[in-house]
Amino acid sequence: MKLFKTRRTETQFAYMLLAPSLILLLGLIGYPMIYNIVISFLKVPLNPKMESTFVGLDNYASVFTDPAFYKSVLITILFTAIVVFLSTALGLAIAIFLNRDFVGKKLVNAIVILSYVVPSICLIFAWKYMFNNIYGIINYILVDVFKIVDEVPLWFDSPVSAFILVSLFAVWRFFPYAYISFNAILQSIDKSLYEAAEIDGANKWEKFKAVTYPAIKPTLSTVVSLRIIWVFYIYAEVYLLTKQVNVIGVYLYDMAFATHDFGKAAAISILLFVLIFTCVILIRKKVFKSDEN
Amino acid sequence: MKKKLLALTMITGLCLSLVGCGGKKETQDTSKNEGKKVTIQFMHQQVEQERQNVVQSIIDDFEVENPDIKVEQMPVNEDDYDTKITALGGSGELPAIIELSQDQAKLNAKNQFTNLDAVNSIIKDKGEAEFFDGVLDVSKTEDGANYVGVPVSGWVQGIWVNKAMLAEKGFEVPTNWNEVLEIAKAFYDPAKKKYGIAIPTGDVTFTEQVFSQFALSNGANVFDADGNVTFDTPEMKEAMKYYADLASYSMPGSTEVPDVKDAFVGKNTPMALYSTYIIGGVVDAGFIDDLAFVLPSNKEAAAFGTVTVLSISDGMDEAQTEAAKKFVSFLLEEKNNIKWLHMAPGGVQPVLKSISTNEEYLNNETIQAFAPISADIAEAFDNLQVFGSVDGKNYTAMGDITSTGTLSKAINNVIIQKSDIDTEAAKAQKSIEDLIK
Repeated sequence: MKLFKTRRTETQFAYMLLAPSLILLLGLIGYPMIYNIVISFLKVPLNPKMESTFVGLDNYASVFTDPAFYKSVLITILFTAIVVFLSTALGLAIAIFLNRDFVGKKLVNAIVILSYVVPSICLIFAWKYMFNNIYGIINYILVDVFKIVDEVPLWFDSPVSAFILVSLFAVWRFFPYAYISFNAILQSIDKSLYEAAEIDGANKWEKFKAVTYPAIKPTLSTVVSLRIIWVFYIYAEVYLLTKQVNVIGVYLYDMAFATHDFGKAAAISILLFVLIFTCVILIRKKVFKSDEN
Repeated sequence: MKKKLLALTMITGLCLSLVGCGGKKETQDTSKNEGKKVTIQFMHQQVEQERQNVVQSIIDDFEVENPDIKVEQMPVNEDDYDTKITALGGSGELPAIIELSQDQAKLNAKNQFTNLDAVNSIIKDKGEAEFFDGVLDVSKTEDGANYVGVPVSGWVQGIWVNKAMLAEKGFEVPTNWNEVLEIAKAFYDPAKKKYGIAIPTGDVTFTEQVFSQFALSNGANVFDADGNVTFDTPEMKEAMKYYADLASYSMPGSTEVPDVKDAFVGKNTPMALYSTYIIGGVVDAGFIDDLAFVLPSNKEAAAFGTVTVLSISDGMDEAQTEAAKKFVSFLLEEKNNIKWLHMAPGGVQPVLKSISTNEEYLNNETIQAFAPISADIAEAFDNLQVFGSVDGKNYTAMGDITSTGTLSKAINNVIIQKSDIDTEAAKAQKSIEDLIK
């Protein structure tokens, strides 16, 4: 009985210690979330001194009847799938390839993560200059040097080529995150496991399946989940590179800051939260869990 | 017991630190009123260090004359400006004085962020006759009864011409649409990176601004005098067709501000549509003597321009409002206004008639360099026309329309995506009508 009492006191004590942090978290995360839900039912003026009007489900109805929203969601899903898959695969491939001792390894590591540590804005302008229609190096090589094409391709003006370029940019920008994560976990795998697999006659793919994959699976799951969330809401990189790829981040920005429709923007963000939350849970449960089983 | 004491101490400490953080604002507010010193913030777009130094020197002079007022400058990058206004306005934290374009000012006035009485009284005190007429016309509210901000400077935009390049092919400075098109055609040689004219075609505000000059010079506007949307009209479609024709002799793809400026300054084209901010680049490139400035002219001549106004935020206490009024009035005084204009000589132009002929203002290397065309530039203020400003009425919805990029998208779709003019005009018309509902 005394032991039970002591435990209860200790639990209370722990909660007391945690309480300020929990209150702070609730204030910083919970309040904006709840406020967001509230304004999704309102027509909110820009000026907080002006009255908001309750519009019920109008904002949600407006979202569901806007074809641009569906188009934007589809583009975003495709973009997310491509970028998450390619950036993770590329990061993993390079991490496996560089998982050995060689001279200048630190320098190579630094070069690999360069695109991740340089501020986005510098990279975006570098790409814009590379693909510039008038003085871009890519067009110079294709048109003036090798004369592969007669006319300058308008890279960021065509929706298809703009989508491909933005996807490539995102893969190049984000793969070092996967590389860093996998590089750390690969170094912790016991080399004797590979030796044992080799003795058993396993080829490279079989060694990956039997040794590497089980070791990196928890990291892979985390990397994929986080990358899905980050890429799904990508805004700055896409918006600054081109106006032809209307991903959901750009669509949301236009709603909130160009048309100042905060109510609709809030409704979209809630719908997207549900979508992305379901998506991440499903991937973690179905893909990674079933594989584990 | 010891544990409880420790827990109590820790929790108390944490709570105190949280209260301490939360109380920071209150502490600041108290210090603001210490010794009756009023602190106001001035948000502007002069982010370059040299310009910030100039603004600070104006503030220092002001504070010497007004020791009971402290002005804090708040430089914000142009790209983040609208977002910042939206975020600060939405949270009720707008600074006392905000530098705005007339479009942004209209939007702020519409959202009741601006103290119109304070703005009116500054202009009235200075004297309406002191300002160029065109400047005050575009700075009025929709009903024409108030001003959305106090004009302090402005810039105009038109066709910049390299006379020497034109002379090489036997052309004179163009005076109308047809001549502009003819010259553009004659100089277009993309294989040699030579273009007939440099105009923006990207889905950016600059495209709307330049296109507006051609539309307005053809008698087309976004609204008529009764407030009806008039984008899908024969005049507007004719202007779109002309702009698309002109763009076919410009650089390929979506072009924006740097593309247009670089092409003209780099002599890749003899003509460019740009603001007075190009003068500095032309001076550096060494052909200021060959520079001419004309306005797009068809049925009439139309200059586009932006008047930079200072708005005073609504909802401040009386002391802060008075302090803000004093500072804005101070900026209209000759000596201080000239300092402001000399931050970007040639780029920003005076909005006060007396300054444009003031010796101190004219006594600047860059301004003297373009002295021969300064009369043409000043004249442009008399032809200042903007979309949404019709028969003395300024439709504030124009700020929303520009903000959504409806018009620049329509132009971009026609020129770059090869969309049909009729379709785009009808689409833009509907978008505008939906927006202003």
